[in-house]
Amino acid sequence: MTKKLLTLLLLIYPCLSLAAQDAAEIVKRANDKINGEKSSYSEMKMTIVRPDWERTLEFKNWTKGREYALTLITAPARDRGQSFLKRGSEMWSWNPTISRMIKLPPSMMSQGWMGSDYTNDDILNESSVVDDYIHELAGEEEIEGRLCYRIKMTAKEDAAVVWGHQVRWIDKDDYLFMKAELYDEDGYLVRTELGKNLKIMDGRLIPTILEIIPEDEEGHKTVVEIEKIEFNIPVEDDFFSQQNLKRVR
Amino acid sequence: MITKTAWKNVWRNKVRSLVVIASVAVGIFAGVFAVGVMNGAIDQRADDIFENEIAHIQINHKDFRSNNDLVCNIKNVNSIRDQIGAMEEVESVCDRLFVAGMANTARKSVGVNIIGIDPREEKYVFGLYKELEPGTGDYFGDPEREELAYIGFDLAKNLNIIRYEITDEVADQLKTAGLPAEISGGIRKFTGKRFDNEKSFKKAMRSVLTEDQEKEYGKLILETSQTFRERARFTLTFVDINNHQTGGVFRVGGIYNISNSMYESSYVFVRDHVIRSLVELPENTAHKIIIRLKDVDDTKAVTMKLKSDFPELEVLGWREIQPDMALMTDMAEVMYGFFMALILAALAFGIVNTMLMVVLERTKELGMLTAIGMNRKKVFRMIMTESVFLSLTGGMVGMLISWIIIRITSARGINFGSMQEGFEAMGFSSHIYPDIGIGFFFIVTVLIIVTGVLSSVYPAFKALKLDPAEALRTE
Repeated sequence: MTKKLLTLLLLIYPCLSLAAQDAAEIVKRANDKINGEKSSYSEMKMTIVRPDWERTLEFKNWTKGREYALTLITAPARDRGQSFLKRGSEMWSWNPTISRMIKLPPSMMSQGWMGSDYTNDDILNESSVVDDYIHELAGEEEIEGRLCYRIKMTAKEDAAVVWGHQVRWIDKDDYLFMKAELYDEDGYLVRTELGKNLKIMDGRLIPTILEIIPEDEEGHKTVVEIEKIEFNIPVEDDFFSQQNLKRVR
Repeated sequence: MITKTAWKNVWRNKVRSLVVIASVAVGIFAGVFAVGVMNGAIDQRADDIFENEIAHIQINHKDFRSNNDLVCNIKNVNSIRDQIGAMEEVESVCDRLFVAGMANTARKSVGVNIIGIDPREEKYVFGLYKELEPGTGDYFGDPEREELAYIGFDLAKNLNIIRYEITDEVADQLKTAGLPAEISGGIRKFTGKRFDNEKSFKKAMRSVLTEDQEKEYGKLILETSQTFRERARFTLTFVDINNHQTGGVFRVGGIYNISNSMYESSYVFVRDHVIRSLVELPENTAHKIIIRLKDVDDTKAVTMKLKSDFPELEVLGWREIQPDMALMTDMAEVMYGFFMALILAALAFGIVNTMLMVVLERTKELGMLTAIGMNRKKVFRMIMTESVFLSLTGGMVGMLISWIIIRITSARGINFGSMQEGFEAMGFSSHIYPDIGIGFFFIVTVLIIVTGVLSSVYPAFKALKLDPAEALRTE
């Protein structure tokens, strides 16, 4: 009797988990697509929109795997030369006007990067969209004229994420994150992220504009535009060093 | 004989004497009652400090206070704790881990001090678990849930864990609490909308309430519409002992509400073994050993003894941990005395004035008394006694009234609700129970007598200068 039940369970189990497996697989593929490159060099423009003002920053960005990243601000003149280094889960900042290197303390991790709606935590990417959530396929929808999977991701009970759940739209053909809605534990929308303006850059199709819109602050928005990106450039590990943080141009 | 005459003299001009007595009585009452309120507030603050915040003695690594680093911990905590616990003067001991970090929710991040505690041991040293806000949890009561946290009310507000919502239930509650119908009609339009922070809620309220209405009912509406999600989730991030960024997810197991908003917004309590494994500290270590004594007055002696027992550690009595409080309690008596002296100095001018009138009015009588053989010393004494009677009668009446009023108010306390924020920012409760020791009344009595004596000196000299022959001739 027990044996029969066990066999039955074994037979049913794969069928039950198939749907979930699918959703997780989709998220994993999409995640690999953005984080899977060996290294990259990019030039970006970030516009911070606030109810009564707006400012634009331009910066260069080098990355290697998920471990290393280096960012240099090139405009406006006031912030030019300021640079940021990420190694693993740690982050340093170099400010040439005061000639100071600062290791960003936990208190600064969750503040907006350069006054934007991007938090340093987002950049460090401590939590993982693959491991920290339970994925569930919740239909298909068209975003920006492209057919997307709509995937509901509920945060795992013990995962160190502040969100209750997320809904992500992933392009069916190219596995690109097209839209994300981040909700708190009570199911209230806190933040929306939008990928726009798909273009082929360095041989890859990517959304070149990323918008972050916080929900409860009216008129706030951050737009990041990728102007140039090169993948798999030759770059050594020691490029991402504190010495180079001061030197990099 | 002199005393009797002086007492009779006081009542020769009833109205004038009563005016002076009344003014002294009012002055003394105002002074003593104000001191009672001040003293009550300071006593409550001291109680809070001992009961909830620091206890009596704390021991930490020599560099802990200057570095605040995880590695500045006490090794071999268990044996040290047992050794201290065996001391006769010690009531209870506990140890704590201190980690600086950030608390984050989906909307907000706040810098906090994370304190690792053993909830069972804590209860013997601190009374903080009693300050649990009803309905928010049960202070680590759930043994299954390891990752519970006990956070302050202000932190819960800052992290938007406490939110504001007008529901039908809230509207009903407000109605029974006496909110006029026209106001509840106005705020009902926000039914179903959730406000994440006090600021946006107040802004919405301001759009439907007039300034007067807000003043009167604003606080009531705010408090009634507070909502809270049980076991709300938040993350704590911090660096571990190897300086690596790390963190974990925690759930609110209770919210404490004390009268110190600074403390409330910065101290988060979690189970010690949870935080210990997250920061990778070895077993049998702690950052602070905290001691509660049977009698506060033993603090100095026990501190000295512990200092010699554990020379490699820093032993601090509450006076060293909270020097401001030590100063306040030490200076309190002097301050109160000074305060009363100031009031009495002002009253003294009134007494001098009255006594001068007494002397000038009775020129003929005083001349007669000296003429029939009353010596100058006795005249001097008679006037002085009169003056003391005046001030002392007023003083007694004033002290009696203030004693009665302090008795009455100390039972129920006085609520300075409108100034709550200001009080709590300084760590004081806005609900004050006035209280003053009986010793203070003795000090005041002495001060009153001194005032009476001093303010009679000038009029009495004036009386002595009278020439009996001349004085007799005046009409």
